[in-house]
Amino acid sequence: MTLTQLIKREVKAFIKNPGFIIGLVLIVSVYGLLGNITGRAVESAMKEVIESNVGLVLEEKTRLVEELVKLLNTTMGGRVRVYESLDKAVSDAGVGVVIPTGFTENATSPNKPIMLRGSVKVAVFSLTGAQARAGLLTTISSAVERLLPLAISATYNVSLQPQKPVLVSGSISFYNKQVSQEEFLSITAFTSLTPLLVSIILGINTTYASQIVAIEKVEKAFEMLLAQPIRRRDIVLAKILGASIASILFGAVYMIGLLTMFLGGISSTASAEQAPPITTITAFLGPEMLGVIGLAIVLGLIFSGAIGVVIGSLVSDERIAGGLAAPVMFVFMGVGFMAMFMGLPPNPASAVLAGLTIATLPYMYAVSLMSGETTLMLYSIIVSVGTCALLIYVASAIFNKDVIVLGLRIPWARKTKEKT
Amino acid sequence: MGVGLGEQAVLVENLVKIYGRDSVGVDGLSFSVGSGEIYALVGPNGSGKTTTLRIISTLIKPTRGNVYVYGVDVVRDPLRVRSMINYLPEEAGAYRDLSGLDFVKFMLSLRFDGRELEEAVEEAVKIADLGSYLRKPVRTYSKGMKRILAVSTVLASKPKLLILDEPTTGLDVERSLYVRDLIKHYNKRYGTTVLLSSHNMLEVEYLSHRVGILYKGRLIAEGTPEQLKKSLNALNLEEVFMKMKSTRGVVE
Repeated sequence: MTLTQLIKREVKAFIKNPGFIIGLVLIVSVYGLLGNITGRAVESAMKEVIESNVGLVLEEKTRLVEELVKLLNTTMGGRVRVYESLDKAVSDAGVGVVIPTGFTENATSPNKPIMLRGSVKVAVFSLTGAQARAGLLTTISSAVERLLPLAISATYNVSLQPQKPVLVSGSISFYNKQVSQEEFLSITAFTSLTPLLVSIILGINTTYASQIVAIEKVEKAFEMLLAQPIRRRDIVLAKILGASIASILFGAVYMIGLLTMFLGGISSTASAEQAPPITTITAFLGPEMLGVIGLAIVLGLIFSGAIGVVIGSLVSDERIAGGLAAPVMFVFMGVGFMAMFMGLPPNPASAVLAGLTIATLPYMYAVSLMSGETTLMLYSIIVSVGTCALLIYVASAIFNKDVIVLGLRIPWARKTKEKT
Repeated sequence: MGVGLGEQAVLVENLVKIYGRDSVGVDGLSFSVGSGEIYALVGPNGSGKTTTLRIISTLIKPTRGNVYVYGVDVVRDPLRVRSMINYLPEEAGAYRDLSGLDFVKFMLSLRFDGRELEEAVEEAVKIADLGSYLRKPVRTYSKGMKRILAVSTVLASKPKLLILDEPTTGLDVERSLYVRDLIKHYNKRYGTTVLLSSHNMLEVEYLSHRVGILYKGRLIAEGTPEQLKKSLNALNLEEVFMKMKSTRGVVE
């Protein structure tokens, strides 16, 4: 009986917490929107893959190869095109596969492996979208593997041969640079995951900053502080920087933990001839990438710190602040996920979006660097700095309003309070 | 101390503060406090005392009307006003993670530095008189200890205008008497103007040169304690307050 009352009290405390309610609405609406955007992006990437042509380069033109091409074209809905070179096939069709010299001999000899060469064009930094395109090579080799016995049967009028595995060694044409599949995976995973990791630090920072302000209100030292001869803007900046220092410490420990985990995994699986992922990343994106990550963290801490200070300013205690800051953290993570699934094309709209979300700045840097449109990164940085300045201004303005002392008065929350 | 001696420390003209749609905090309030005076605002709960003190302290803004502190508009130049005042809120606390000494040092470092800061901290430590507790975290303090810590901080800052909202609330009798004497001492020795609010009529009578009685955000009576007592033929301010309540039909 007593336990029931205690549980009722705890549940009521949450339900009546306006921060909790607003947080729920925020998560549902933002994640709904993000889901919609990323869903459409993934769908369109998959559709593009399904509907794209397949370029074939025939280094030998035997009856078996001709029969195989015919079958392949029928199976793939007439999307097979024959090109003179792999470069032309990739540039025109997006994916090219070479039927190499010796293919017929290998296909008809029992102990010889069948190996195709291929390349696929990828112009998107999205793990799902890019993997869908890279998967085209495997799709084609699987189709060849299934159709080869039929082609042999039709060509030589013999009973069906036992199936032989068909392998494909593929490279990826990534923004006109040839990279191996491993290199491609390293770069895409790095640029897609970095925004997520940065956004986690920013989410933590929002929570810290909102708690700093809200706890000060609960400690009842806040009004005394506000009556001191200091600019409110200085109080805001001190709180943002204070929270940021705590978040940097948290972030450093968090990164060390992650690196320890990943390096442990890499050292046990990496082969001697394979370059470690970090070497690949610095080779393609340059050591400047680390500077961009640092810039994203610094700007992001100001950005998220200001959001946290705004939340802390509007609420009356740390319970409501926590209720609001937690979903904001999930919103940040959602933005990180968006980069992973959606893939921003190199255009000014993406640059502005990256600038507004800040966590996606490293991603935008990689996109602008690989596409050769480096001015886009400049746009992003300008938008980010502007966003931070605007948020500091908003936080300072709130510190100069009555709401900083009185708290935000939400009509429906007041009515609920009055009823109880 | 008479009214209007020297310059005006506080001038409040037709002050109105409205919260939201239906809540009036202060309704056309006008009064002034002379420099070096101790002025007390009294009134039932919700009469607008704290709202008035918060507006004068630049914590919140008036909806209408003018408020000046030593001739400086609290809305137009709040930073200058803050450099002349210090404010003790009704529920003043301190940072729980700091020791009492560190809290005093932090608060006073926002106003002083160097030798001045050292002297101010020394003074606050003397006023607080918390002994070895000063080096312990504030979270271990009783309500009264936190209050005396806050009082010591605002007094040691020696502002031109001291704004005290219920200065002795939460203090035991002995400490309350001690704080009242301190307020008197600072007023006499340093000429500090004091504007305070209180529910304790004995305290108000003991401290104040003039008293303003607030009801529903309006000033319904003002004068020296003697004048107020005489006008209502009362023995003390408590009786004045009760008589005012019955004549005005004040219901808390």
